[in-house]
Amino acid sequence: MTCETYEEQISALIDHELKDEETEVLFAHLSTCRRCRHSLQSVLDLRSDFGEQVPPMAPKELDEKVLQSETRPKLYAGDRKPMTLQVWKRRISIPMPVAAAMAIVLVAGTIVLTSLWTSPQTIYVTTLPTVEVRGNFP
Amino acid sequence: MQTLTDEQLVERIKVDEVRGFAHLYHRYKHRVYAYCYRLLRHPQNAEDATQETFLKIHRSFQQLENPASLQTWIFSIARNEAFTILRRVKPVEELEKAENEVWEEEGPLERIVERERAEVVQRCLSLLKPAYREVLILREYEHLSYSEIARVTGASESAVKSALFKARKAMGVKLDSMMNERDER
Ligand SMILES: [Zn+2]
Repeated sequence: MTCETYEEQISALIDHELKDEETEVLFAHLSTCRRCRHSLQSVLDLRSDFGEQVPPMAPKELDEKVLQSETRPKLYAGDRKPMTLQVWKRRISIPMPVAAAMAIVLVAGTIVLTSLWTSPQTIYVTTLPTVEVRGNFP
Repeated sequence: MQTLTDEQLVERIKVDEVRGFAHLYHRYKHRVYAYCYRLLRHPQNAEDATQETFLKIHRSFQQLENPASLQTWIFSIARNEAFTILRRVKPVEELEKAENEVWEEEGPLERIVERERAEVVQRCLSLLKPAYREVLILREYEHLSYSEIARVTGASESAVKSALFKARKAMGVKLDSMMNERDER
């Protein structure tokens, strides 16, 4: 066996993933090979480097984002209703022309409804300028 | 409540979904976030991946076949979410090119040498290709066994063993050269 193969075993050794027979052979090799002893030291050093690190923590805001929408009781088993709440929390992108059209319809509708309610005679006067706005929009 | 095993937790969720899921979330949130953070190297992306992970867990809880494998199931979902974001950030061709190459990119050594060893280790880890980075994260931080890592990543145990060896060797060499460079200054 080459040192490269032993090195792969050294990596498995520190993970407690080496079979007993393999471990025995590896230790016999380690007693005679400086390169592999250095390799063992190197993986052990790396392990302690990892051990010294402070783990990143999930931000507090995540609790609300996940739990508010996720842990509402389902109405029926397998019901997907709680998921609908999530839709409002997500960013929804609407194409500009659609958004513009929606805005115009809203404004026009409001004007029409208001004029209908206040004075039915002014319907034609108030709807015409709205059409002009739509035409001028890029 | 704190001493529930994963299997008991799964049973609890079946009985009391709201509190059971909250318990599961609090048990795993930091681990899932840390895993995503270390893979993605980006706090907001890690948060998004973590949120999506718990959403998927909740949505597909019925699909968990073996309650004893809750942990690996959760990490495999988190892995999918993190890799979806990774692919969005970087094209697949770039992620998968040069299969045998351990490093994703070469780090600018000069900017690293002044820092502490812990930071150098982190920087080194972040320069590994995702396939190598993830096995190291799952082994060194999450303490998963080879068979568990294999279940999370979908690789064979021998592939996990080999990837860990390569990742460690590459990290050892790079760390040595970085630390020597730093000490010489
Ligand atoms: Zn040797």
